[in-house]
Amino acid sequence: MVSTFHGLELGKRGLSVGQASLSTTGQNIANVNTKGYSRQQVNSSASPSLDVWTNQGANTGQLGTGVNIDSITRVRDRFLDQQVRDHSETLGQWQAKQTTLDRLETIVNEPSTSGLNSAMDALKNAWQDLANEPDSLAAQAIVKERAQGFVDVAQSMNKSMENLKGELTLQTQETVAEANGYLKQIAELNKSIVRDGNQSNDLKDKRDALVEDLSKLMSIKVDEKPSGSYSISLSSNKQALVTGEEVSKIDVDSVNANPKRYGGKLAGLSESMESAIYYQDKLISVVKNFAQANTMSKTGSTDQALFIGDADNFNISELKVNYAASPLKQPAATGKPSEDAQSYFRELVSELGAESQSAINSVANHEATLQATENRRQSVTGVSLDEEMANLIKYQHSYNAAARLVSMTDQMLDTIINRMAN
Amino acid sequence: MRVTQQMLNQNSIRNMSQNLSRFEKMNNQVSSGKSLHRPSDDPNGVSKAMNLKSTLSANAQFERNTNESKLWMDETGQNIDSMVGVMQRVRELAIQGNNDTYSEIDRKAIDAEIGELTEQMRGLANAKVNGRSLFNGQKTGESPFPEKGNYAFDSTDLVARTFAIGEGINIQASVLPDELFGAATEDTNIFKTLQSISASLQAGTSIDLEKTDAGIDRLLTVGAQNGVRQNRVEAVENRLLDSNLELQSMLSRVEDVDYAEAVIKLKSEESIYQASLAATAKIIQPSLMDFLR
Repeated sequence: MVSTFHGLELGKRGLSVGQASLSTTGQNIANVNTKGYSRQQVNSSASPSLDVWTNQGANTGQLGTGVNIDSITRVRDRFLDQQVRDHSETLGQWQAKQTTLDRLETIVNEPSTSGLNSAMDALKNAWQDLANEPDSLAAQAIVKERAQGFVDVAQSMNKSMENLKGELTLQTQETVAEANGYLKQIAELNKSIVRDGNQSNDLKDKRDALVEDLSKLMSIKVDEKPSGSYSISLSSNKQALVTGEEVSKIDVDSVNANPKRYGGKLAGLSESMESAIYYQDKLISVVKNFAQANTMSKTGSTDQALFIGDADNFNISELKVNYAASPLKQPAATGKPSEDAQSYFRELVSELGAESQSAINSVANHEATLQATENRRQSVTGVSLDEEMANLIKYQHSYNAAARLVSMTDQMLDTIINRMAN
Repeated sequence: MRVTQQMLNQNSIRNMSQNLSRFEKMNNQVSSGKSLHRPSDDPNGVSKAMNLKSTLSANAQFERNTNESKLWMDETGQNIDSMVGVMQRVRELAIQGNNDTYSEIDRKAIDAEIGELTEQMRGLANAKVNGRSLFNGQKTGESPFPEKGNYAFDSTDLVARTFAIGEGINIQASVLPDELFGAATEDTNIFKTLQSISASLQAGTSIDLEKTDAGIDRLLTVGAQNGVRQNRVEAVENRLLDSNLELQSMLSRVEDVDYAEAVIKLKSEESIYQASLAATAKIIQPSLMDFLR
């Protein structure tokens, strides 16, 4: 026997699922451009049916009682998430390196008419003018000025490299702090998600966005526990970073001691540091060889050398021109040793160029792979406005129909209650 | 494959910015005329360009050196010619002085002229170019014979001026007084010869013409050597100019933009960029919303 008000209840359930579906569609539309948002969907199923008597004998009939909302879940693919994180990590590493190499190229400033190479050429020519007129005071003065020009360029290059190294140290510290910030926020979100049960879609989205930001900085492995909380560890040595609400922070010293273990931007920064040191050492030996080829002495007071600098303990910032020297001592074999220094410098430039070129290519490649993976993921989790619009129409009609059922039941009851007794 | 709004946005923006950056790079090449701006543009080419620039800069210096040495040699040659002229006149006068028919007064007159000619010789020996002594080796600030009548020339540690006119090619551009006039201790030293002529004229003895001839011969020989060196410098200079042209065109091949190609590329990059803008404008605008009424 069907209950009198069965139709009202049926309509009400239809209305409430329609309403929830419309709200979820609204939520999707509102978040169409939110970073890290994954689309949500209402999972509903028919509610348990009632047994009603039929004249089929032993078999009872089943009468539908409408619909129930089971859950509202987000559409997400964990494997694609892991892929995106892996690519982000590699890209972060290359980007850090490429930025540094780009800076070094700017510092080296070749090919140009104002770089170190031109300064070396100018000094070589000044020596020849002096050789043509050994007594000329003007020619002596020009040699010293050209030498000063060379020292200026070398010192400004050296200083820029020093600054670059300082910035890299600072960047490493900031990146470690940034990573620790993410770890802390992830742990807090773990807490909220476990407390709210496993259905807090928007908090999960937020947490995934944070994990993604973290994966640019270092290489991490993510485990989802049944309670919904994330356990995060380093993928290289399984060192735990976040377990539930517990955070074990990373520190600058351990990153500097073993950057390869961390990967991501942190490893990229440490490789950048290595590059900066490597090219600075090369620059120092170019400048030292060139200064020695053009005569250099420690004090400059006794022999009439052009440069004052300590060959055993060479430091570009302490290189000076010996303005007191007069008459200048001509370099022993003109051309050859300073030629060597110049070709060594050219070698430095082409080596830097090649390294920078390959870094640019790597960044481009990894950007493309990341973009492709991101596209695949967007295709699963992203909000498509067209789809939402179609759903909007669909749910609107189902809502209207459910409302119609209620008003029809109302009319039936009106007939039974108000008109039958008269 | 579902296509979603964020995907469309991200892909369009990424493609547009990639096209724009290629467009900008091409534009940079066309407007600067150089295809190499940073080492990473072409590591090998940049190193080559640097090497060529160094060689060109060295060549410019060699050219300046050849010009300087040519000036120096020209002046040397002209002065030696004048000296030969003076000595020819001395020889004529010596022959006249050897004439027995000449009286005391005539010989005095000849002697006076020899005196003048000696001065002229000294003047020529002290010749200067741009205020620098021509016949005093590297000590261009001093004259070889600053005082009249003092021809005892000190030739110790006097070195001829040499110019580097090419990689490892040094050329002597000046003539030392000892080569030109004979050493101060030598019998045939020109100034000694002139003084002995003067002494013979005053004493009325005969003049030895052989020494005069030896002096003239020496002048001519040194002048000829100078001429040979001039020819060598000219040959080297021509080679320098040729190699400069060669180097310039190589440098241009390495670092200059081929305009025809670059402009066509620029045009195509421009149209690609515009096409991506147009496509993006088309794809981002409409959605189902525009058609639901």
